[in-house]
Amino acid sequence: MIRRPGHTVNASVRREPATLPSATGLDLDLAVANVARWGGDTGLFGGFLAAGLAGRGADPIEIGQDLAAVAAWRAGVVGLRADALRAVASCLDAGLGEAVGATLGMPGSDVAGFLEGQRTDRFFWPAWQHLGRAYLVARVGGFAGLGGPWLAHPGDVIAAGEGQWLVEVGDELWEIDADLFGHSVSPADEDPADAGEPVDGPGATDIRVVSVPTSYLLEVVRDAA
Amino acid sequence: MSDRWQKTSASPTVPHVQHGGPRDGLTAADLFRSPEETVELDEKLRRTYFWLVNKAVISPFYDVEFDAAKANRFPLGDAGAEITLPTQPAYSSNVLLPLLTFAVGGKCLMIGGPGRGKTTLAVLMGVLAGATPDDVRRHLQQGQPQLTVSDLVGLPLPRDLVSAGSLAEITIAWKSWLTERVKIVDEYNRIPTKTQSALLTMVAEGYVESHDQLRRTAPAAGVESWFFTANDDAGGGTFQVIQALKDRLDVTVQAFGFNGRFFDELVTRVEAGERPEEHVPSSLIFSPDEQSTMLAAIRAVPLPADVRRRLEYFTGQFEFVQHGGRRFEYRTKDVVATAGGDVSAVIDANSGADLVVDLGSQTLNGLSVRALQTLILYAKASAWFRGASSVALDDVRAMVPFVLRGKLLPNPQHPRFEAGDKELAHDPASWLVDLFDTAMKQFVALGLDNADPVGDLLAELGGGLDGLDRLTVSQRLTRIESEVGRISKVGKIYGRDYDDLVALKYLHQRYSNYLHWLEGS
Repeated sequence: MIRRPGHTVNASVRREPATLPSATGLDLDLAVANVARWGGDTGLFGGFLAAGLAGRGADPIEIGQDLAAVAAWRAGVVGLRADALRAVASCLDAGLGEAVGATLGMPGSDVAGFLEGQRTDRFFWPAWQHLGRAYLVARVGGFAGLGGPWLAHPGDVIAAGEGQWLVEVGDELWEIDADLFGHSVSPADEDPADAGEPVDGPGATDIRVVSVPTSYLLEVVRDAA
Repeated sequence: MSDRWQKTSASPTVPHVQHGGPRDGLTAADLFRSPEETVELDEKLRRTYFWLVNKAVISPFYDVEFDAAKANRFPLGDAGAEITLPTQPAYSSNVLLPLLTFAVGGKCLMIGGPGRGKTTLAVLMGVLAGATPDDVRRHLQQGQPQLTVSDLVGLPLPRDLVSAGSLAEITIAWKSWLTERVKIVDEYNRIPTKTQSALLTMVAEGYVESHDQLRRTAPAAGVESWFFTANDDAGGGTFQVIQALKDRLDVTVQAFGFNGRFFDELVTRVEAGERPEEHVPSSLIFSPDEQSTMLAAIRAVPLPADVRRRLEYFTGQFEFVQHGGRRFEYRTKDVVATAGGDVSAVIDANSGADLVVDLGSQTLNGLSVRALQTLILYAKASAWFRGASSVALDDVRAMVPFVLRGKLLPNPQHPRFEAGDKELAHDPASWLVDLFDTAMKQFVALGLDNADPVGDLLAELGGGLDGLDRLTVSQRLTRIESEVGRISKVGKIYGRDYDDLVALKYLHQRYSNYLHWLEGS
């Protein structure tokens, strides 16, 4: 079996073909195209957004935009993380806990706790709080021939900040930015010699990225508490 | 029929730089913006390049290469030719350099025989700035032997010439091209010398003068760029181009001929009667604000210290000539040239230096500050255009042949231009790259990547003199004298040592003056 990049949080998501909902004043086809362009999973985006908008009437355009941003983040667009967290808080303030919970794939009553947890730990997921063992959070990278970014096996990994790592691949240095739902892999600007000592992210010192000898994928794992 | 012109790159033009989209900074509103609205300016400039090179001028000459060490090389024929197949994206200089000139607000000279697309490219630059093709053509200045200053800048109104009591009362009907963002002077080597001088004032000072009245030529908004064409770069043409005007041109680029393998496009154009400047996609037009933003972004690209150090080493090779004068500071080619001396003969008189090692002996002059500033700006533009976050040595190397052409003059008496390398005598671009590569090999061989005592001393001084005690100052003076002594013991002096020695003397002066002040206070 060929392993692909992905996030464990999506493993139990039921993927059913969802008809893209309509939202007043918003071009959701364009949003789907942008989610795809930014590396998100368009199937997940459509499904989570449909769940969030289900049964809602004509919301103000800002609410539709906020739910779409949360759905896109949930579908793996890591670049939306900061704005999506703002959008989640905004929806909670507006009494839309159930809608934003459906968009995230959790009960509305869990959203406040999830938001609080995410603010200190970008890999926080309520269901994993008391697992008591190490677990896989995500697989990232991969061989170029299978759609990944790399032509060589990834080597040493250096922590560069919260949810950020630098990895040597051949004679190149790449940067990984990841959170619970998505990740981005891009050539690093920094020279390996300048990368300095490993940096621990606040509240997430037990998250590591490890290189696997038999794969070009890197594994993001959380150590046992 | 015009639809075929409107296609531009929809995918990012820099390959696989991102897997998974931007790492941060996206907002909910971005989700509902089309890619066209969110395209970055560097991406827009790259799309423009690819449209120009693939649709407009058909230039399959990829001579600006990066990461040359990894390229596959194939020898061709029996005269030392080889073709390289680079692994990194390469670019066509005769499109890239005019486009970078447009981006940085520079001055570009395009040279080459008739019918090689020089004027077409210049007109396209005008259209990219938002002017209509008709306006660009109307504003294009056609060089010809009878071109007067009035033809160039405008005429005094005849009514005023008769009735005015003083020059101040004469109204000048200034030509409208003077304040265009893109200015084009075709066949500038056919312009009479006096008119060239008026042109020089515009290019160098940004104004024109007529009948005691002055008009600024900078555009009201955006960035001003100049494009000159000529079919000769060796002093030919109807009139010799004045040196001061040549010095103001930032880059010189050779226009290539037509590649016969692309005849199908030519046939299509003949049949359709189309001209590329009339079909520039609207998504590639740059507003004045976009141009200003683009220039600011290019200027902000950092030049890392290691690249700067190598650039210092390269540019420091050329000013010094051993027998140029008596005092050490006067031993320069400029001292010889301004005294009417023969620089070649003075170089030849230096029997003590190895002409192969002494890169300075290959040139008749050093580099002006203007040329160095231009090299830095174009290297930044190259890095920005390629989507890099800082200038790499490859960016400098790529720009050297175009920025230094006509500014760093070859010494024809040097053995480099004899025997097997004779072709370098009439291929200045290849010679300049060769010169740069040789300097970089020397830099590595001398171990300068790891040790830079003069740089360390300069950095120490950069920390300031405030609070330094006598002992520290004396220790630094001793280190400076020791470094001068080390160079002195080598016996031979090269251009690379000249800059170091002048800098060491400067440091010695700063510290000894400070010591005198300490002792007197």
